Amino acid sequence: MKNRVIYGVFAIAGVLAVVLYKTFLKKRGRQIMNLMINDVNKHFGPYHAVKNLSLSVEEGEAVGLLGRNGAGKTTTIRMILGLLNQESGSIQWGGKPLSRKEIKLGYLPEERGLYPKMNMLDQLIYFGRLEGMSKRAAKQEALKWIDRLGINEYLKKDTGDLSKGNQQKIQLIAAVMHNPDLIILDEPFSGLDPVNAQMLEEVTRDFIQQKKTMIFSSHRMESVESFCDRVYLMKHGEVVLSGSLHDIKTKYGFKYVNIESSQPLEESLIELQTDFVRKGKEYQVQVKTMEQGLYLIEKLKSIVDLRKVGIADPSLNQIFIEKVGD
Amino acid sequence: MRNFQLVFKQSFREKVTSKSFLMTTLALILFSIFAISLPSILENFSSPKGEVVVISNATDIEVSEIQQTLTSWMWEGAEPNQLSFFKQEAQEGKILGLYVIDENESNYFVNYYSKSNDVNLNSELSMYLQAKNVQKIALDHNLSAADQQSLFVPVVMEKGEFTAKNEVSVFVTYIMLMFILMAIMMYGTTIATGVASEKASRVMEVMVTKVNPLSMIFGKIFGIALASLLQFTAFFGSVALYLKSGIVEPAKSLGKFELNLSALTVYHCIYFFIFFLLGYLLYASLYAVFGSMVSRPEELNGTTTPISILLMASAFSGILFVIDDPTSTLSKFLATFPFTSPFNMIILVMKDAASLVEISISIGLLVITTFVFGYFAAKVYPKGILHFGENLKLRQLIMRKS
Repeated sequence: MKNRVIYGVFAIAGVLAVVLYKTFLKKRGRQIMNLMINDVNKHFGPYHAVKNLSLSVEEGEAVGLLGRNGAGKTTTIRMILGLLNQESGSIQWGGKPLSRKEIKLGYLPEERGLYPKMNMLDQLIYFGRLEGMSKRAAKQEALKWIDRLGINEYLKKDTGDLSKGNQQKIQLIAAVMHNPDLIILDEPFSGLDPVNAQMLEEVTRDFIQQKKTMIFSSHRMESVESFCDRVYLMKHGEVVLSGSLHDIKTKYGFKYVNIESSQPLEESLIELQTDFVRKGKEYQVQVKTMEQGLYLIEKLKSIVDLRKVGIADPSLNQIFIEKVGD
Repeated sequence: MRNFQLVFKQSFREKVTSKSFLMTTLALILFSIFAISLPSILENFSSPKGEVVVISNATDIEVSEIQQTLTSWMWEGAEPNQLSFFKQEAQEGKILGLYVIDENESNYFVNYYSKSNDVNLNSELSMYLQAKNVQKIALDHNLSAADQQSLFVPVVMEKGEFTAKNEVSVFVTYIMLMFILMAIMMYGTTIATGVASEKASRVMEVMVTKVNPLSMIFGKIFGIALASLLQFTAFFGSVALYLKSGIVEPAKSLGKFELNLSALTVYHCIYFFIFFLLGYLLYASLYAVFGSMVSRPEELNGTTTPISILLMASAFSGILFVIDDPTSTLSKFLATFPFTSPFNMIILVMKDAASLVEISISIGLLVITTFVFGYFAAKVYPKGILHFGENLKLRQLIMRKS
């Protein structure tokens, strides 16, 4: 009897030890799945498309990849997707070379397309199955998204007969229905009417709230500003600006003083030797520092009556134009 | 493998449910059935029997007997006093002819009036009267019934075969060659168009992130191959069933070409299937690569011309050089060289002019080349499908880094 009790205690202790060990290991061993691109280069013939690119996207972070057409964004994305091989450097996911077999990617390309003679549901099931989903799961997930994006009425309609906006919704579903580890959205709002754009913005915002790891490439700076934690600005294949939006804006080389007055300010501003832009009733003056801005406001107050004054960081759009505009 | 199966199923389903596939299959079946039935149909629509009037002055020549013996014409008897009336009818072409049969001591003789001067009719009537005369002489000479019969035993005339017993007729071989040529061109073009359409509609951008190029290209090629086999099974099956139903007697020849299928064995069919399939796979890989080089399906015609020329040259080299002299060195080379072998080894097999070793070498080389080109296609295909704008040249595609 005594032996049985001892054996029982040992058995329970053993099970507990295994459970604790596994839990401990699971916690300790859970790897952070981040994307690291180190010193990557890519040429197309003599054209150096991507130059010494280094970029990182932390788990649960949304990063904006910005730049004009031909800046190297799509080439970078294609290298992440494994469609193009980098000539040097490395692309890693969770500390290991990125392999398509070990990561579920959700990609919404800038150039979009669907099978025009296939109906919406069949097409989504097909795409879902290609991502490893069972037919049943793919159908369930597709229907869920179709319902959410309000396109139920076109379920059995050939996608070629749908409007561009609805086709874009289908493509977004195809990109995210398999719950990818990394979502890459290339110009997700291009060609959408304001209602559909807002709907897709809400979906994107949900992804961000769910802490999905995302790369967001867009020309719509206000979208990037509202969604992304950090941005990379590319020009001629190189990163010319990177960091968190707050840092970029506050540490950027200028600020804007916005002034509104009951009387014209042109003469006073010329007298103070400042460059300005007039936007309706408002005057916008670019200054290098906050102190310069404050000094300008004080000077103007002593000359004219000011209705409204404010000092603001440059918008991302202004920085974009300043940095990559010719 | 899973994605290969999915692409394969999708390509197959997309092909067999397309209107063009259903229409082509139906048209092929109907056209073949029509071609097989044509001789019988023509027979039914042949011109009505011509009316021939006979005035018999010979004692033992009866119009009723002529009617029973020479059935290709419609015979009518008339009295000698109607001679001028029927002469007029014959002159005006209202009747095929007026034949007046008389006899003398040694034989019959015929005076005839005919506008059309039917040689066949004259010959048949002459032969009939000759036989009657022989019969009359035999009776006059008291020949036994057996001897009388032996006088009329016809000379055996048997048509000889131009081909040896184990050779398939040249016309059937032609049909097979044309079949392989048309099938490869038709389905190869389908693949190239499919690739170009996917590229043009930009769905390729999505697909390349979900499926690896090898699965994508071969899933498509095999899916369409299965659709083609289904189409040809439906075609051959329908034709076979139609022939077996006995609705029509199949034509033994078409013009001067023999259509005899009796020498065609299961082995011939197996070899035909193997060479057709391997030939298709080899050329289909090329069609896929060429399809990936253009940005729009409309631009395909010019781009796939080199493949079409290669295909035509391969098929016609067989018709020009191999069929007439299957044992020559050139024929053996053409039957072994991978791009021409699907067409030319079939000729050698059908003419029983290839050894098992030669067939095996040809198949082996074709398999290796198909794999090499399949691998090459899978390597250059992604570069092609991700390139937009100006059409790529093959050299650019090969040299381009991925």
